[in-house]
Amino acid sequence: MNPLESVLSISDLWMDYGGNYVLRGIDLKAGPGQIIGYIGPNGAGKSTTVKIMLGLVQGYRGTVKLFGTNIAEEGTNYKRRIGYVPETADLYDVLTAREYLMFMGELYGMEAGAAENKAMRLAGLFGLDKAFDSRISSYSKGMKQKILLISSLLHNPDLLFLDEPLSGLDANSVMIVKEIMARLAAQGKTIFYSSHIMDVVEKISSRIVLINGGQIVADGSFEDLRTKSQEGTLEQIFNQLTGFSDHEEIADSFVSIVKEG
Amino acid sequence: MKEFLTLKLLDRAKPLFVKAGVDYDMLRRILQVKLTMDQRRASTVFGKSSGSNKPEYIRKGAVLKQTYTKPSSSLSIKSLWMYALIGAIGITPFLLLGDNYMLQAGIVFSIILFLLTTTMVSDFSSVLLDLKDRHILHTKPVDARTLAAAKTVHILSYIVTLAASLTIVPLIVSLFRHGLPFFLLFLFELIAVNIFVVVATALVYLLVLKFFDGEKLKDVINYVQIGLSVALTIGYQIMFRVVDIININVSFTVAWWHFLLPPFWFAAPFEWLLHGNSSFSVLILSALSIMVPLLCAVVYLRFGNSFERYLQKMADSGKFEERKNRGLHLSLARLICRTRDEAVFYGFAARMMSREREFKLKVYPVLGLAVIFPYIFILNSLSDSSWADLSRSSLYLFIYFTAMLMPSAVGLLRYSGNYKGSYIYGTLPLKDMSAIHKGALKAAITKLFLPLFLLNGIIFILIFGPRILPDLIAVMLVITLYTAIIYRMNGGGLPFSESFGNLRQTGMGKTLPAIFILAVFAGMHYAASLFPFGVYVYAAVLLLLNFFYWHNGFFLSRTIPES
Repeated sequence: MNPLESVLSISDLWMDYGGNYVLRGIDLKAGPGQIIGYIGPNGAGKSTTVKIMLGLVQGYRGTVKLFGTNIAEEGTNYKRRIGYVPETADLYDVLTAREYLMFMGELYGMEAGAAENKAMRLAGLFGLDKAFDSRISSYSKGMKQKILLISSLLHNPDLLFLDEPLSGLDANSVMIVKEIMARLAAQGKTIFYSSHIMDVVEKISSRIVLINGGQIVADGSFEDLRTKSQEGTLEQIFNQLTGFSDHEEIADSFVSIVKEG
Repeated sequence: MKEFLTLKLLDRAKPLFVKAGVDYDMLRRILQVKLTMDQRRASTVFGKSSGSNKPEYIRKGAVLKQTYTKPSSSLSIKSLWMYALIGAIGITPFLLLGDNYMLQAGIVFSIILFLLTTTMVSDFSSVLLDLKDRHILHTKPVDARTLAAAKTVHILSYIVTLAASLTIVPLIVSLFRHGLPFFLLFLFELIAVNIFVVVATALVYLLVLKFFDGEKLKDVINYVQIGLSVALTIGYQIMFRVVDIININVSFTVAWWHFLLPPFWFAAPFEWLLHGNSSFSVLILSALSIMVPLLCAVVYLRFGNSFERYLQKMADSGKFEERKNRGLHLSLARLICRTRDEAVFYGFAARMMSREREFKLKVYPVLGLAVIFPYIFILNSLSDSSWADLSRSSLYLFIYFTAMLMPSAVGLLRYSGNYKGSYIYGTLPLKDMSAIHKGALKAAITKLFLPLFLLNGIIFILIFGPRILPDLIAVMLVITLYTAIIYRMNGGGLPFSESFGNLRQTGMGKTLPAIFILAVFAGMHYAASLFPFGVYVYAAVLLLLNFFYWHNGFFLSRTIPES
């Protein structure tokens, strides 16, 4: 098997919600050690793709292979090798961090004591040791985000789906998480990184996949995209490829309406 | 995390789960977490939670202090006692009455079915339709069968606990009154009833999920819940009609419509096995009591997976809210609100009430009951008086039952799923906070009460004649005053400013005094109606009281609350 295809291989993926097509033939392959910046405007189909790979959305057409096996044919076992940070901070917040992370570890088939021990040490590194036995509902946004990150990594997955993983984190924590991602990739893990903050995507991604209207409109390293589009920043490339150029006019109109009083 | 008794009992059924292809250890672990969470939440599961076990958190920078008083299970035990009491007082007498098993057991099962189904619909729908689980549990390497089993067992464990406390006294009584065979049969049928209630409810939702999606689906579920609670109340009344009409000692003949009433299915085996009545219809009914729950269970097991898939539809964004004609509401707001601020909050509250899911889930079933309750009482008294007597009587006062919805509506007004949005009250340049309260309360009256009152008012005028028109006006005045009074009794927290998680003691504790006050108003109304022009005097007094109360009754929380 081609090592590039060994982690993730999507071919001709279509998905519609009642005649409304959100994915129109996605083809994507990813290998180990890549950090893929998965970007696109709202409603482009990013989260649908990720949800299909996680088995949350059914009824798609096309093939999705993870680690070489078709997920439609295999059970749920492939999920053992996946870590997921959802965009909406869904967690059982009446539990304490200890209880929640232990439970998550066990769901991934870890032994309870091992999960607890690992979770505690990871939380300690994030400065959560004092809050470890408090209910998550009392946490700040950044603290919850750290819990989500820990729970996605606890079982040492090979493939990570991170949706706005830095949201709510302070500048120091952001630096830590970025370093963590770089090191995980260096160890051969594949990271799918979705975000709307282009500066970060530009810096951390080894490869950028831009999706618009349910199709991939660009795929390559940041350097590739820059040479192709003749633009300086990822933000500008994004604007160009999604056919958006009138931000100045819109801003003008916006401010003038605000002034009307 | 605690070892729950439920789990220890469940361990005995482990081989069953293993045989069904369920990962039992995982199932057990998920249930343990779920039960722990239920216990910590100021749960709706058993409805009540007192202030004493509310956790308090103080966060200072990164340091978190948690002053959490130990969660006590005594609360749920307390409400289990309530169910046991209802069982002892409400069910047991029917077992003692005679030897007409078909009727006795029919009544007993209709009470049990009624209580279990209403609890299922009102308290467990949220568990059944939980979306949060999808992102947390369904992304993990746990197979769908185990997750579905966990969900079902979770709900079943509560329903069984509830059913057990409800039937413990009747079961013991039946053992002594009717002997061991009756007792065993009763127990067996109860198990069938439990399965029937949980699985049938799930199947109804499954059907709804299949044909609708997005926001529409949530609305339809609302309507199903309202429909169910109304249908159950009416069905319950029918059961008692049956008893009224047929003497309890007369032998029972099966009519075609008995096949449509589940309580008779569950009653039939008693007639068949213990009375030896093996007529064809009794056999059919008996068969239904086993076959229907079994069939439902099989269908549920077969399609349980699609349930989860359809559930995803709820998460997918719905269509745009229809832009309705705002003309009528706007002019109504201008008409009944004295200031612009008040009108703004009127509009806001009116919209929140019609959109807020949980608010609707809790209040709408009561709306259904409020509409039909007056008629149920009129029908009850119609059985011993003629129609002509009725139209001349004072029974139109039963229209006060329509106002039964106000205590729960008003009590729930301060809760919202979007309670965090309530910071706007603090950041707005508002002169007078009472505008918020008045606007919201006026919206509650016109949006929730008024339509039902108009409907019932028209029907009542048809029954009792136009002579009751002044009375209806007096009733309306009572309600505006009454609503303001119970709102103050509730302490007057700002509307939509607290999480439903904080919901405490909506049960009898607050509703009973509120209903008592309504009864006092109705009593005074009756007294006034005994004098010539009494009703007019009553209405005039009410008008004055309304004026004073609405002007001066809202001094509470005029200042901005500390969040």
